[in-house]
Amino acid sequence: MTIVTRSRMAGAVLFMLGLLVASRPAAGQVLEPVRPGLDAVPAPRLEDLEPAVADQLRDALAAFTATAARTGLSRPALAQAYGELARVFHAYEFFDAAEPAYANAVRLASAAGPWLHLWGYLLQQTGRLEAAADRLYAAVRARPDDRAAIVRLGDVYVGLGRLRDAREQFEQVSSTFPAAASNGLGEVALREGHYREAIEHFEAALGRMPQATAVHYSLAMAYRGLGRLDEARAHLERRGPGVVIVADPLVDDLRTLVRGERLLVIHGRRAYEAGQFQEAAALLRRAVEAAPDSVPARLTLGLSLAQLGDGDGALVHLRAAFARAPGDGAVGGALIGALVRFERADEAIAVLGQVRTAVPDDEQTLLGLVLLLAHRARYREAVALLEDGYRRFPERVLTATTLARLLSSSPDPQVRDGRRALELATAVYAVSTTGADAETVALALAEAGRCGEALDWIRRAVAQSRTAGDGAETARLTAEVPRYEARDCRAPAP
Amino acid sequence: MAIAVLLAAGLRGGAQGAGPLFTDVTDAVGIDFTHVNGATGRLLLPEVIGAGGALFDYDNDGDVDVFAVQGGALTASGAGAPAAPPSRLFRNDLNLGRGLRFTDVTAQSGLGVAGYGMGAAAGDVDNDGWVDLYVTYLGSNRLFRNRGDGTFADVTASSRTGDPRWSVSATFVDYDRDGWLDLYVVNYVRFVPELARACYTAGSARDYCNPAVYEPVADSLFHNEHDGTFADVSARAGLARAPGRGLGVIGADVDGDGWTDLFVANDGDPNRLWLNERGTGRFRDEALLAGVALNRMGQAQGSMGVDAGDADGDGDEDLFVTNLDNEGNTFYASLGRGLFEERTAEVGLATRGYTGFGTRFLDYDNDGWLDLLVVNGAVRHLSRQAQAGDPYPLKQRNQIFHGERGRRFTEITGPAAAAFAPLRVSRGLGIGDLDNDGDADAVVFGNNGPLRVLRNDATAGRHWLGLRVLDGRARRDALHARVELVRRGGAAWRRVQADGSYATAGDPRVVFGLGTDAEPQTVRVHRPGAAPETFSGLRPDRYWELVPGEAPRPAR
Repeated sequence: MTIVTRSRMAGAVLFMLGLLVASRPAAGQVLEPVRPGLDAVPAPRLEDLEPAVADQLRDALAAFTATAARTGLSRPALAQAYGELARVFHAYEFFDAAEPAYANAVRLASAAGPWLHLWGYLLQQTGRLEAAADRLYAAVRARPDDRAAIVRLGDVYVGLGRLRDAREQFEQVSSTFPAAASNGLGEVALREGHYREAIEHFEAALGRMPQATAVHYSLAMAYRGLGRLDEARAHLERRGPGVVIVADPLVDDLRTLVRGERLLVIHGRRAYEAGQFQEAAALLRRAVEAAPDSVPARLTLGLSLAQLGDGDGALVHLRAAFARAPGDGAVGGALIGALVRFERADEAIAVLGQVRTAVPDDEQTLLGLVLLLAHRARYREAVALLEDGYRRFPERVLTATTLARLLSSSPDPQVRDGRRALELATAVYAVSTTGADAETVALALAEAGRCGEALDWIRRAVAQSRTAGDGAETARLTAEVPRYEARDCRAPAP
Repeated sequence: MAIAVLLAAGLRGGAQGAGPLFTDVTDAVGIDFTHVNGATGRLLLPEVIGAGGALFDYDNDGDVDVFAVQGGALTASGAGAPAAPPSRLFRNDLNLGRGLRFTDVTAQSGLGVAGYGMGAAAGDVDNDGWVDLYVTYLGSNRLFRNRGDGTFADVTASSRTGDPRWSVSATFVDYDRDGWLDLYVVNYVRFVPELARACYTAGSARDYCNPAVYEPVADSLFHNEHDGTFADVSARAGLARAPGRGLGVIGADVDGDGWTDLFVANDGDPNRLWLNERGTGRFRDEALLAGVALNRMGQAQGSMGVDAGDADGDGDEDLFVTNLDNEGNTFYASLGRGLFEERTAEVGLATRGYTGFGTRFLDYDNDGWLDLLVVNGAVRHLSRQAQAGDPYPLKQRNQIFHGERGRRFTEITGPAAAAFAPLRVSRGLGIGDLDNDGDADAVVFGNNGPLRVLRNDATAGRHWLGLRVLDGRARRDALHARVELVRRGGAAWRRVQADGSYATAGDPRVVFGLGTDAEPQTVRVHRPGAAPETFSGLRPDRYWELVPGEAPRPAR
């Protein structure tokens, strides 16, 4: 016993050590402080990044190093260099690199530049609200006309529960950003339990920015606070992802730093998700021109073109994406979906066959292929595939059910086999007893010519479906009963 | 009264000043378990999701044993590779008089089954007085029936509980009050390793995927048919057409109607609050109106773990949900009647920067007020650790919060709670009184790292009352019953629970911290659907067994 345990432990340790040794990466570059009192800046590991991004960061690091090496460099100039470096890191969300660079910029020239604002935004993004409040407060003190920083500060105060401070901020921006001010004041009132006031503010925010559908949630909570549950439910129905948008040039400018294909893909995806398919396609065409091998660009462009009804164009890009990433389930799924939609079922079968080669054990892939084969009236192939799947995984209920149903009711009478279908259907029913499972038994019995029993089973299917409370399924099964009452109860074949 | 307050204050200061609140005793107690996530550089989502385990008294000897769920290698079918180490069962040998010691009894238990495991739920499904075990997997789950002789039988096939989807947490709950434990299984996403997506950070580095790129799946509800089988009633209950990327679950009667409801923590999708429609066998999701589906700003969060407890001492169950590091965790204060309001900032829990998983309310210092533990570990690479060359840059420290008499929580992770400070990737958290000394110890289940046993050393000099609340007919733990400690300054409430946290079953016994009060106590037990029953004359500093209609008796 002891030997077994030790051996098992040793195996586990070796297994883990092997993984660690195999995957231990080297540490990244660290920019040591240029002057006393500044922080080191840990640069991202460039070898992990796409070439375009790595090149941009390499250039930024080189530019910073060159600037910092200049003799007699002023504090504001060095602050600018740290700040610009921070912005590039921040644009790509390398927060741990950006933060000390912002900190150094602020230490060198606290009142100059946008660094406090951006540092506060970074802290807000990463959820460190106390620190975010400090930096944003300082940013507002340094640049009182920075109204976007005031809104951010208000939002951070709300998150911290500092409601009086939050109210003060939002009241200051009621003319510059009226929707944001109303929304912020609504959130404050909601937290204070002043539900009527909250409703007024939220309604005002929605009046100015109806696309800010997320406000409906807060409005619902305010109505709920008043006990007006019907109105609360109505607003919950209307809630969505849209938020109150505030123009914040400093933050918006970060996006312009992101280069090349990635930027276009990011913006293209956003446009696609917003349903703006023309714009998405235009952006993603540029991304594909910049990076013809980009799978995300090809995939999203293909999907956009499919949405625009351009089947040929969509398939060009989806095929290209699939050729580059045959193991990516999303790419394969998108290509198959487009092929089916644009009535190229045979090619879809071929693609699904390729996917299945990569994942021979995946039940959904198998069933998808079977459905496509059935769609093309290739029933024999479908049955053969299902028999193979069932032989290897007899516990898979869906595989067994699909096979039983095909053997019972295939439009091709040559592949029907009532006895085999009944064997399968009975095995399924032993572990799964839904109305549909009872119907599978009924179908098999009918194909085997045992119509009396089949009628009993279809009635049982109706009863089970009714007990399960599934109205649509009950109606469907009930409509099937007359066929089982007929002399020849087998499923009709064309 | 003033003297009592001073004494209590001094006691707390003394307890904290004298030494650590918790001590890592893993090596000393003989538990040697390291979770293997099977990472090979492909950055597959399951690698960062497991694992948990169970704290349960499998041999009915009066002490809590530990079951640790193992991962393994991710293979083509999603099952564990044959060479991967199995899950392990550690028997607590406290009753042998050698202090807190564990013995690995995996081999003889029948629980040493390979497979890419995720979590566990514990409950006596056949009412034979022996706690059974349900283990969730990336692949078909397994139900192990406790034979009562130190071994378990795999009854998955005969019980019809082998949900083939990727499940993480589960809970046993008698939702229809028929006296038999049913089973709720939380499912996550449809995942096939060979079809896994490649995902990138905004800076184009490879990283683990957001689960949003995978299709969500619905949860399952299995009704106990009283004959060793379960029926999948998910469709009838209204769950089958409600997919979500579920990770955590807890049962609690949140609307006070005497029927146990279910809260499901979803990762990136709105959480669900399945209100039990009073014996109809149906549930309806009221999470949105209840105010627990989203955070205060109306956004769904990456929710993982959950616990329920009367944190503010007003007699109803509040909820605490753990989320991603940039979101922060969420505290939902119950307003009564099944409605909640997020008050995370107001109660001092708006600490961010940690991705929370397992979590439990507990009264670690036995002062009578609930405190809070949260174990953490990122799911996306932490750039500072990646930059430093860490091969698994997801490590974060854990957190402990002291409950300030139901008003606020104060984080005290620091020198006094150094056991929570090491940077690790933690997932499951099991709470239980491992050494039967009347305080809550903790077992932290790591991801691609070691399991740690943290002994509670914070309660010296404080009195306590331990209860094992049993169901009358079956003599099994009366899961989801509520227990009210009747006292002059206002009642304290606890729940008999083995669920919550993350993928981990906990010790179902209830412990009330009494502070300096050494007088015999009175409790009232509220079992779902039964009239409250009062038990008096319970002397502190020991465990009592409470059976309906019988006099309380000292527990073993």
